[in-house]
Amino acid sequence: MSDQPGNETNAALSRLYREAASAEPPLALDRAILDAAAAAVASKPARGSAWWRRWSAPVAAFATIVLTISLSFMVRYEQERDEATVTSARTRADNGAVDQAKERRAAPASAPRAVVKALSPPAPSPSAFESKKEVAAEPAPKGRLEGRLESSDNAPALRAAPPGVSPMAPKSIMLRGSPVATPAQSSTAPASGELESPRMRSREDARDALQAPAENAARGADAASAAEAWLARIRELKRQGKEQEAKAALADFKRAYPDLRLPPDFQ
Amino acid sequence: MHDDRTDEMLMLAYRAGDARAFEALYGRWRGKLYRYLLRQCGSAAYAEELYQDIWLKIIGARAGYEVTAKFSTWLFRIAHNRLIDHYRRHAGDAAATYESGGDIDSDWDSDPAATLIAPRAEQPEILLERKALAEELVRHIDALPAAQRETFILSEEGEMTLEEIAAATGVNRETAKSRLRYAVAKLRQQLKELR
Repeated sequence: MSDQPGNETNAALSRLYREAASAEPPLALDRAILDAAAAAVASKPARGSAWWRRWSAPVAAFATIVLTISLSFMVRYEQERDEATVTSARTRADNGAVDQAKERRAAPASAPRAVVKALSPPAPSPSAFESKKEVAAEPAPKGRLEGRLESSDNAPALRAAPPGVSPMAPKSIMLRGSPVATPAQSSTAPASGELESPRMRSREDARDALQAPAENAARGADAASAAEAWLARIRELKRQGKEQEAKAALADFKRAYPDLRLPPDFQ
Repeated sequence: MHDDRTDEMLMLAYRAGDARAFEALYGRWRGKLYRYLLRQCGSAAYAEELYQDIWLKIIGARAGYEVTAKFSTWLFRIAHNRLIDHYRRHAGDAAATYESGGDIDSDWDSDPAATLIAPRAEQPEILLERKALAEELVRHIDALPAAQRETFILSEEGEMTLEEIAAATGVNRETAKSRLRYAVAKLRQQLKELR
C-alpha cells in the first residue's frame, strides 16, 4: 500500500489489521504438506525428471526417424539381394542348360571325329593341320543355316580337300557345329537336335554374339593361313598334273572364299 | 528456521531436491496464505481444503519451476485461480460478485485519514478498545466485495505492489488500484463510524 494516497492512515489500518490477523493453519495440515514435499523429493529427483521431460519428445522423434530409415534401407537391401539371387540362379540354370546342350551336341560329334582321326592317314603336320581344318571347314562370316546347307551339298569341297586331309574331316567338324549333317549322322545327330530347344539356341547365339569380336579376330588369322594352305595344296595338285582335281578344288576354294583375291598364278 | 535466501532461491533449491528449502519457504508463507484463504472463503474448512490443494500444486510444479516472477505472485496467482474454481463450484453468487468487481460505493470520502484512530498511550483500556476495533475491522473486511477484499488482503498479507496484485489476480494495474482504493475507503468509513 505504498503508492496509495494517505500512506500514514493506511499504515495505521494495516497495523490494526495485523493485530487481528492471527489465524494459522492447523499443525496437522502443516505436517501433511511438509511430508508430501519431502516425499516428492525422495521419490524422484526433479532435475532428471525435467531433463527427461524436455528431451523425451525430440529423442522419440529422432528414434522414429532412424528406425524408419533403417527399415526402408533393410527392405531395399533385401529386395536387391532377392533379385540378385534370382538372377544368379537363373543365369546358373541357363548356363547349366547350355552346357548340357553343348555336352549333348558334343557327345555324338566326338565319336565320329575320333573315328575319322583313326581312319585318316597321317597328316604332314597334325597339330597345325587340325586347327586349320576346323577353321577351313567352318567359314566364319556365313550363318549357321547357310553353313548347314553348304555342308549338305559340299561333297566337291570335301573331295577337293588337301590330300592330307580326310574327306570326312570337314563333316566331322560340321557335325560339331550343326546337328543337321550328313545322312551318316542322322542316326546319332537327331537325338541332340531334338533336345536342343529354340530358347537354348537363341541363348547360344547371343553368347556367340558376345564372344564374336574376339573369336572373329582369331578366326580371321586362322582363315588366312587355312586359305594359304588350301592354295598350296591346289598348286601341288597342278604340279602333279592333276588339272581336273586342281580346278575342282579351286572352284571350291572360290566358293568358300568368294571375296578373297586370288594370287596371280591362279588368275 | 531462518534462511537468508530469497523465496525464489529457496524454490530453486527445492526443485534441486533440498526439502529443507521448502520448509523454510513454507514457514514464510503459511500464515499469510491461510489468512488470505480464510478471509476469502469465510469458512475454515474450505480454507484448509484449498490451502492443502495449493501447496500440493506448488510441490507438484517444482520440476518445471522457473523464476519468471516473484514467488509470492506465483503463489497467490495459484491461490486466486483455485479460489475462483471454488466460488464457481460452491458459491455461484460469490463468483458472480467477484467477477463483476464487486459493488463499488460512490461515497468516497476524500480525506478519511483525519478520522482514523491514532495510536495513543498503551493503556489497558486503550489496548482493549484496539482489540475490539481490530475484530470489527476483520468483520468489515469479510463484508467487503470479494474482489476488493482480495486486493486488500493481498496488499496486507502478501505485501504486494499494485503490479503484483494485478499479475496475481489477472487484471490490469488500474483495476487493482481502484479496487484497493474502494476497499480502504470503505474500511476507513466504517471505522470512523465506530468511533
